[in-house]
Amino acid sequence: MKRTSYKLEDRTLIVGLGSELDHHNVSIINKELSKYLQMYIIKNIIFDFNDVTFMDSSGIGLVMGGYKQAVLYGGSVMLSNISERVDRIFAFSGVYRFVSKVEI
Amino acid sequence: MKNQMSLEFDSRSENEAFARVVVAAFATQLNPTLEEIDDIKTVVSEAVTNAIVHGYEQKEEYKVFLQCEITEQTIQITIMDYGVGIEDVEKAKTPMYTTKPYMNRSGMGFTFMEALMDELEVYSKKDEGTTVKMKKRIEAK
Ligand SMILES: Nc1ncnc2c1ncn2[C@@H]1O[C@H](COP(=O)(O)OP(=O)(O)O)[C@@H](O)[C@H]1O
Ligand SMILES: [Mg+2]
Repeated sequence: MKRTSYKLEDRTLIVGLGSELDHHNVSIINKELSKYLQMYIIKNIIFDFNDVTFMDSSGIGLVMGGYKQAVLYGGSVMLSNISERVDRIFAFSGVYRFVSKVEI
Repeated sequence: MKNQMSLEFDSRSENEAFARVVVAAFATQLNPTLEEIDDIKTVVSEAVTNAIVHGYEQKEEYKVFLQCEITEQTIQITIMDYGVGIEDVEKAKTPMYTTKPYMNRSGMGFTFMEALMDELEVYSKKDEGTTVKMKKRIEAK
């Protein structure tokens, strides 16, 4: 199973999400994410879904939690490499009112 | 055809993945599409997560109960906990309603279960526990 990776580029944190976005893994990612946000000056967050093969509603919580953090710093959250299924889930739950898709 | 299985496991978040993979494997005898398998995995993950996060409030020493039944082309999945229970089930089912917003829960769990399955029934009593019963028909191919 693929783990999550973090890469800082300028003031944008790129989170390469692991394969399974459920409550268990999202709790781990949330802890790691808040460490990065404390340690570095980060404005924007890009969640890269390239390796994601499973996502339940915990993924919505992750993205919206990131959005709440980013707006505090005047930044934004972007999503890349979204599969058709994940796209449908995000559209259905209104996430695109707050975050947008980006190509990386 | 009729086939049944049941399982009990600890209320640890590691078991969210275990539970959805087991049910997906059991469902393969209905020859589902990849999309139907994803639907089943998602709803099992939602209900098991709820038992662990809400029912047992993340205490890991309790048991979650899972039962699956295939009758002809329909799979019925039941997930049960003896946790804190839900006071108002209709309210809990409302999209975006969550009692744990500080934990970054989205309040979309029941909404997904309703959208991805043909039937959803929730029985719950405060301080006694919660049973979630879902059904989905998998068309023969
Ligand atoms: N098994 C359960 N035991 C106790 N409360 C539950 C259970 N399942 C759901 N709930 C309640 O219903 C609410 C809505 O659940 P859900 O739609 O899955 O959203 P979320 O899990 O994101 O809060 C939860 O916030 C919780 O208060
Ligand atoms: Mg839930």
